Amino acid sequence: MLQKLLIFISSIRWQDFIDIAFNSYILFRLYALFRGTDAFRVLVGIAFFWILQRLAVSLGLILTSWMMEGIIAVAALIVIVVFRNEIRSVFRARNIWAILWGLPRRPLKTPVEIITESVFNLAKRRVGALIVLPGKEDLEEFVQQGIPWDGRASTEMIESIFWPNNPVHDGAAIIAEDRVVQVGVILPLSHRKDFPSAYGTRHRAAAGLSETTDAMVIVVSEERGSITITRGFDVLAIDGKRQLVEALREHLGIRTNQRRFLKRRKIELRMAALVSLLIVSGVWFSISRGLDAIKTFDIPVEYANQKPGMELLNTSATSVRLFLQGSRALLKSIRPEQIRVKMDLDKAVEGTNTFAITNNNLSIPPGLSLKEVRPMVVDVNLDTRSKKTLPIQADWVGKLPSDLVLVRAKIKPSKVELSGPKTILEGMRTLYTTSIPLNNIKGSGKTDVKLVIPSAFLNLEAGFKETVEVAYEASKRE
Amino acid sequence: MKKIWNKSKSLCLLFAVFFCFAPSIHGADGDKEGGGAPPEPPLQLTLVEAVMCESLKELAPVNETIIFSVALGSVTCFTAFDPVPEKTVVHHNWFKRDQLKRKLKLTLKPPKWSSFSKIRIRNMGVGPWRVEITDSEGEIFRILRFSVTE
Repeated sequence: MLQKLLIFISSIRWQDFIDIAFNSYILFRLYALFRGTDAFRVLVGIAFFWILQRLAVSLGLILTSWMMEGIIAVAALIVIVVFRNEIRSVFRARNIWAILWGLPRRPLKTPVEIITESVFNLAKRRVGALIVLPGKEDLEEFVQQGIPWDGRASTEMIESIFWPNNPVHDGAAIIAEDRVVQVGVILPLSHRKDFPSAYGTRHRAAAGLSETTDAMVIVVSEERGSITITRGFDVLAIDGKRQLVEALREHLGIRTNQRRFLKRRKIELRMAALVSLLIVSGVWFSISRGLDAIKTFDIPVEYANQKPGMELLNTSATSVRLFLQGSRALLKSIRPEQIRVKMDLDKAVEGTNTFAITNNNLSIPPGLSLKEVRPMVVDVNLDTRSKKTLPIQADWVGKLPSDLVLVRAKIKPSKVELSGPKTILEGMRTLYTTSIPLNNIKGSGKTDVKLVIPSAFLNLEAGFKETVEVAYEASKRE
Repeated sequence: MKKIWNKSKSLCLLFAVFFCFAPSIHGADGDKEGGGAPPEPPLQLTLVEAVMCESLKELAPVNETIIFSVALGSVTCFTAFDPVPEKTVVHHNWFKRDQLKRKLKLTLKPPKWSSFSKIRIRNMGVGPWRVEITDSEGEIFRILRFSVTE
């Protein structure tokens, strides 16, 4: 058992550690960035479906696994479409360093008491007000004509914004963390038919925004001096300061015991990091060290780095059959394009070279090992390039009319120069034309015929054409 | 005297053809070198005529051609050398494409000599051929090219 464990540990490469660590970190970062959002909850749901799908596959539940696959595919699409604002706000709100490394910083404390005090002061003076407290979603798409303010929130400032003589009083103010971000903001109106008639346009605007986003809106009625909050589809009348403070704290996620909260959050993040590591390790082991299987791949052999002037004439194998061992899941996902067999011809010499195919010649995805290769060796025939001048001979075919004798034929040009592998050229003494039919010959004449270049490795040198002229002289038979 | 000499030439020719189309010798006039003449530059074996023909008639090529139908049955390569400084041999090397099919040795005698070689042709022989006429050292005098057709 211990020996097995040792063998297993020794078989893990340093790349595997990096692989697991990197992906664990990505998973942890996704958790850190998206925790608490609706998108994250849906992602957890998708992960649950994925586990179910794998379970269904292992149990052989074909229909269930197909259904789960379909749900996952659709859900992934839905997450991107439906939660695009949440995703965008996560990536836009922080800089790249914060996304990659920084732990989610503690949001600045929104001055709940200041807001409460201001709201009640405004209500007392019957000054109408609309205060938006954003949630995690980006509001940019839903609001219009906001004037950037960017001032630290204070009772005086909030009250002065909504003071009737202030040019920006007739809109909403957005307070994010401890700052008044925008003022004079136009909110979308709610189109609910069951909206109480007692509420005016200001309330309808507040409800319009909270219905479409996760923001909370505080409304101060100008006519009645009443305070109302809207959150989601809820419209709640506020009776006292305590109620508003609690509502604000609940919306902003402010705990009474902050120290305890921070400690708990630290533990939560550490747990998240550990769970990410465990999940990724589990996935990695299931993929790369799962049930061992062997799969064959026919891979073309690549020949490279041949010496200048050398030409690859032929090889005993253009492709080899590799028997690769690895987890079934990994083997299933491998495409032949991911595997390469490369022979280095740097040390090859003229003539036949025999190369053994070893792991050094292979490029296979990590997690797989070579079990067998067929053939185990390849013969590579290399040759140097040279030139040769060859005479041309006509290749006559068919039957010459019986009364005729073809006395002689003159080919123009009578010789051509070929370049190509030395061994091929050495064995060649003549270059022949394509077949010239005799049947139609009535007397002397000439014809253009193509040359037959017997090997694809051979080329006619510059200045020579593939077609030659054959002039023939015929006479009557004696 | 000349009649007797012609008869002996014909006999020689028949003898050569009979033995597997092996080289046939053709004697020439028995001109002798004059004695006491100033020394002449050494004579060189020279090929004066080389033709492919359908047959020979009275030791002369008949129907010189480059196309031989299989129906004809044989191909003849006729060569004439003048001068022949000394008794020597030449070769008629028959190639089909670049493959040597027959290598025939012909003996030449001074002062000049004509000889021929002949091969049978069959359907298997259809294609381009050549005959390389070489001296005893393999030096090529001439290459004759022809085709054997259906």
